Amino acid sequence: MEAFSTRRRFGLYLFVSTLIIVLLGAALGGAGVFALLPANLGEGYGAVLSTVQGMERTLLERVAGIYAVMSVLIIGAVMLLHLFYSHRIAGPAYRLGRESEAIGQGRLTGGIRFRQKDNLTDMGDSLNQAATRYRVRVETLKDHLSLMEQKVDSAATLMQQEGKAPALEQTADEMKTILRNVSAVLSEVRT
Amino acid sequence: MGIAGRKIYFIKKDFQFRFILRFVITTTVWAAATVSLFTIMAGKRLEEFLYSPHINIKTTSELLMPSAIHAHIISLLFFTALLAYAIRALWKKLGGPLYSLKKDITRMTSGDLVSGVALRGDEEFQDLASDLDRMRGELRDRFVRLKEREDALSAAVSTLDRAGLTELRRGLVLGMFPEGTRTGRPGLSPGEPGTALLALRTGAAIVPVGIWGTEGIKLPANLFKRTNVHLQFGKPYRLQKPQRITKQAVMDATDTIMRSVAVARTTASRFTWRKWS
Repeated sequence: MEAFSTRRRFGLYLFVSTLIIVLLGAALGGAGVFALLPANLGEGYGAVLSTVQGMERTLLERVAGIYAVMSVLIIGAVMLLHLFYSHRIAGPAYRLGRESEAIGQGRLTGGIRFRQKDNLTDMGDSLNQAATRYRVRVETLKDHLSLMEQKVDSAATLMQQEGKAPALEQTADEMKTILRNVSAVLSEVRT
Repeated sequence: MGIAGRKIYFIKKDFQFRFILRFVITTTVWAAATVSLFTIMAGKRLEEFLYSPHINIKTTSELLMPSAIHAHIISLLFFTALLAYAIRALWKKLGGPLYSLKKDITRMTSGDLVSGVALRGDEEFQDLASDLDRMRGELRDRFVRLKEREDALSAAVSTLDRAGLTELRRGLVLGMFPEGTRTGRPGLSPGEPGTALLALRTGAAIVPVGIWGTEGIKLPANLFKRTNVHLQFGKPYRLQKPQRITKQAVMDATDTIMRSVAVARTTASRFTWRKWS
């Protein structure tokens, strides 16, 4: 199965951006832990032991506290980042839905356009292609039917006149040819 | 919502919520892992330091920095792997339904409006699939109507060709069976538009004839058996010529003709007559 087409390196950018946020958070968290602990262990064996024992007692709560604060910030940043990234898929998906609604209602413009950084552009292209193909079919049908209308009018006129049987037969033949063309277009579509 | 004006970022809430949640969980796991790892490694280092015979360290940085670096390197490596897995899993989850939808669009482009667009229940983009399926259904309805019109037109042209318009123009009589087929059962079937179209085009008078009794003939059993067949002629009339011969006008005229045939039958009440549609 093919992977769905995204903008070039979308996944890589997502990966690197998230990693950078977490790296920054880790650096800040680490710095925060050291800022909360006493910088010097003290002078003399007793002071050092006392400082280290104090650190040992409070280490978990200090590390957990600083990381809890950092996590809130990091998660907030990650949420914001992924909101933007998810929007580059959700936005085009929304537009595809709107466009399909328009096509269903007969607006076969095939004019779906995405932003430069949007994803699912291949789906947009496919939908545009579908709209264009159906527009061509409808326009061909319209041309044939307009020609048919002319032939019907001309047949009606011929019927009012005496001795126009050959012309009438020719018109009927032409109408059959047009109908065959109409059938050919309609047979392309399986319903 | 135009391209330039798309300012709402939380546009498909469920999808985006699941997208974001995946990374929030990954980050939370990383934060918890870092705290645990750092606390364990730093605690161990402090314990070792307390029982160390020589104290040659003066600052906290000197004491705990190696543990902090190790803990962070390990947790970040773990996070990197977790993040890579989360992105890969996300791509896999999005790739399946999008590939399937793309195939469906390609199928519709090639003219297949029969097969529906549907995803498995747990897949993403259900709303997009439902929009595409609605589009397929609406296009299909339009083409079905076009095909029906083509059939009616085709029948009319064949009738025009077959019926010998010249006969009518020469004042001769043309006998037509407006139902266009044999039913083998009592009652009238819906009329085809050919008779009405001819009558409207030529202005020829119509003599409705009701026929019954033929439905009792079963071949070959009744080949040599006498069967009563009844013909009842109705009052001749001409259709009112409309300004323009539209589909509706042909349908109305067909109804008039079928009604007059039904009335022409002496036992008309026995028969059902269905409106041409």
